[in-house]
Amino acid sequence: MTDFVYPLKDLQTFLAMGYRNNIMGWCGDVSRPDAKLGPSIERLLPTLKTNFPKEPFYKNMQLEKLLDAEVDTKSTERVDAENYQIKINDGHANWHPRMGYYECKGVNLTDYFSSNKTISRYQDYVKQENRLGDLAYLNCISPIGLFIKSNKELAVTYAGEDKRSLDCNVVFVDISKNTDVTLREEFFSNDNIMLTKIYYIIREGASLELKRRMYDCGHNVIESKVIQHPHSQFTADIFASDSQYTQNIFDIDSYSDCESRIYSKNDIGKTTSNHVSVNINHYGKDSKSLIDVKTVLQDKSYSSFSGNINIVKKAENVSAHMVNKNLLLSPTATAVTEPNLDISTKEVECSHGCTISNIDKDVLYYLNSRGYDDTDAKEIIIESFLT
Amino acid sequence: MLVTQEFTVAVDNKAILEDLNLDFGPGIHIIMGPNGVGKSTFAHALMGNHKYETDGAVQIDGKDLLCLETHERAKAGLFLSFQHPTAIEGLSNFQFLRQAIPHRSISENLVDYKGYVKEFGLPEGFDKKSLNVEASGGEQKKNEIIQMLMLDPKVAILDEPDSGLDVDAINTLSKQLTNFVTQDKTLILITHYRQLIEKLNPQTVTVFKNRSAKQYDDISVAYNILENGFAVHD
Repeated sequence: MTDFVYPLKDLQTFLAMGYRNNIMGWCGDVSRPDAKLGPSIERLLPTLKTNFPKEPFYKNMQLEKLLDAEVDTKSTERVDAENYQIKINDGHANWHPRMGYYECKGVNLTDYFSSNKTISRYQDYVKQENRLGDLAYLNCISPIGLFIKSNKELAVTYAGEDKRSLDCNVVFVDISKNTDVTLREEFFSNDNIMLTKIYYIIREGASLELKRRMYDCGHNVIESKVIQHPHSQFTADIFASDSQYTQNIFDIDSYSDCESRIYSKNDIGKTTSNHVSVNINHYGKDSKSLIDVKTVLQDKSYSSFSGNINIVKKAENVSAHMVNKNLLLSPTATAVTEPNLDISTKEVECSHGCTISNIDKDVLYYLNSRGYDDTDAKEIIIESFLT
Repeated sequence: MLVTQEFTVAVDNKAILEDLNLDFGPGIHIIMGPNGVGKSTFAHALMGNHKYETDGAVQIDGKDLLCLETHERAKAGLFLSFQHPTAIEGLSNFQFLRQAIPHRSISENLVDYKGYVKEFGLPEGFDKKSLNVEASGGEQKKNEIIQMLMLDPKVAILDEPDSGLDVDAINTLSKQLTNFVTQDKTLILITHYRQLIEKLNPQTVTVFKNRSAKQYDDISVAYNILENGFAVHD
């Protein structure tokens, strides 16, 4: 096929033409009656075409900025990355040639080519959501599985191309029972578009500490689906700065006696469009959750936060708290914040607090009075705000 | 060391202080005056607070102060301890100071800081606590004094440094302030606390009243005010 350029919003049309296809979608276990997404690409695409850019979920996310971004089908150099054990790009996963596999006993890395049955068993987790994650699934070359069976600290890099290409990744991270894992994720994508859907399955009694960093990326959409089995713990520490367009989305299903903590720090400027959405569904008793999202905005940057805490009737004795703070350093920056609580039981402790503020002149004056000029004082204020 | 000439302070074009001619040489000076007369305003106007418009002239060590921005006034050697210092979550007490004193090593600063923390009876680990967050009034005042000692300014203005301090802390405070002025520094205290005045034995007392201020070399004026109130100076 000849190389050409197209806006991301045309991707669905290309998918319908069979331009690029998900291997699991075409070749997975199509006989399963409950296989909702895998074999149903023909069913899904028409639905997506009409609905998904208009989904209320995206109302504050400046989706047009992403959908108008151009994709070049010509292949270019991949962004160089060093400090990783596993590198994932466009549906391919590789151990680092020197520091990967041998350091990671107890970790299985697989894709559809190497073990289609292993990957196919996660098909039940894949649901049509009318989100960009659906496109990531439909357009990825192969889903990737990362199975962690013993206590581990792992570094994973998602490396895109240097120029405006499209990378799609679907990853299943499965953490065995009673296993403690620290996962460092770094996203490098320069000027390209990366659509990533990651499923974190945290088995009973296991814990995952996720440290995600995104620096100066192009267009990056990361949808994270977290399934927390009883007695599990999940902590996400996310830092994002100055990408052109970012969506960091967490959907967390928390069962009994779980702890979930999301700390998201965003330091954005220029014309960055940065969006954080965290949805926690408490399905079990005695669980705790904390959403703490802070954003510093400069120049003409734009950010949105959407936080949802859903507590079902049987989820008694749940403690859930949500905080979103925004610091506006420029009159041309915009922050939108939208907290939602949906609580169906009385036996809960729940709170939320959202603020949008400018730099307090008294704080600036206090720092000035100790010898800091305005530039240094603002840096201190930003640093302490994000701490 | 700090000299004001025809110094006028206004807010929204309304004068709060007018034509102050004051001279604070090396040594200890106190400022007294009824509530709301403009003592703190005087201190903050000198420091360059954005709320105040100023006129006249102020010199520190012969250098014009009013043409300088607040951070430049600090670098010129002026320090102001706040009556109600600002709290900054996420910025530790020591980090705040360490960055303000870049010419000394971190370890030197930390040794000195911890020494002062101990001397003022502050809890261990105080250096790591967020600046003035969940700190008592006394802790905030002690922290302000420690900042002054660490920054080592030429002229320090302390706005009611005694409020909230216990007896032991007052003793430590007076000892540290006495040491401070032995180094040819100027110390200006806004205070009405007899015990502190007695311990420091100041050189001058400046009484603020009706938008003006009068400076006395005779310290008995201060004791007279403490015994009989401000009415005696009408």
